[in-house]
Amino acid sequence: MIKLPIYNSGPTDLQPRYTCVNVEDVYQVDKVATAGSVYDVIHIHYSTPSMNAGDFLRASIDYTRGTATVVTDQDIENLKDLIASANQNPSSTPEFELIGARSATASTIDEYQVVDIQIKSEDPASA
Amino acid sequence: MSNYIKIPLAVNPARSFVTGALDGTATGGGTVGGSGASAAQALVGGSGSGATATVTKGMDATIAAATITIVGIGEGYKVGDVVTIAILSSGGATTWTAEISYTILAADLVASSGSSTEPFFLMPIDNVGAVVKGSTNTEAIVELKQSNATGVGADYVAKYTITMDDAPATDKWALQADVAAAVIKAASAENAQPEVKFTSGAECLSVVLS
Repeated sequence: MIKLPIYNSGPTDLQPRYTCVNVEDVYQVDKVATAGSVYDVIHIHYSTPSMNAGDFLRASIDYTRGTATVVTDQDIENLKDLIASANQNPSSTPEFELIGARSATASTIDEYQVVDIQIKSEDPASA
Repeated sequence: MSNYIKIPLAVNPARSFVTGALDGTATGGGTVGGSGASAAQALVGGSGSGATATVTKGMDATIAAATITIVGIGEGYKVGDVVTIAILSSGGATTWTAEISYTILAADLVASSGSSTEPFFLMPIDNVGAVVKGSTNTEAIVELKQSNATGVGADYVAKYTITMDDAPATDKWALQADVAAAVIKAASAENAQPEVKFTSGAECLSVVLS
């Protein structure tokens, strides 16, 4: 399990509260563009099968707040490392934060906070 | 070992009516006359306010045979509250000559699954996929890492739907964070069964697995 800051959840944007997502059985992590080349969604692919033959489960972590890319290649690498670490330490619940949050201001920090999460069934071949 | 979170279920919380015919039988009303649904009348008394209902004459002139239909759901009513409807002697539809009295039943109000013998919902967290915000400010979703039907998309994943009363008010982000905080705590402490602490004292009406 890892935790992620939620948009609009705390007393201020600088004091977000958290949601959590399961990171066991993750075999792939990638960034996704919701429009053109604006990358603002992370997909975590599980090896957990769904009821459709050949389909599996996937978590979508959605940071969509505007028209700017907030998820970078380095974020994906950092998340993979965090997932490995979380699975090595089963009772830990480390926080995942996008790199951009480190240099964000009080008025832009919310662009790096999670707007939505969903678990879905998907066909990996068409994802 | 399975780990759990405890979601407190409100016991007979103050809540709204559901629209539609009342489930029980009213008393009083004197002689019921006319025909067709009356204009909406206020339900007075009990612990709530704001509810309105129409009265429609039944097969005879007693209020027991009439149908009382909630049209305004109000807020703050409890099972066992006694509410009254004042005399209505004109209006061109159903009328009655004495005050109507009605004792609220559980089926008349928004569903609530808490009771003195079931004060908590115990939710296992081992297969929790993510804690997700609901579509309204009275709902939080805990999606499981488990498919529940054949198909592609979010509708084919098993989930717990946590339904809250609308008063005291909270919001979907706070609800998501409240539930997630307990899941995180349970995941971090193998022998703990943390209780969800709802922001603003919000009251949980039910938890349903689907």
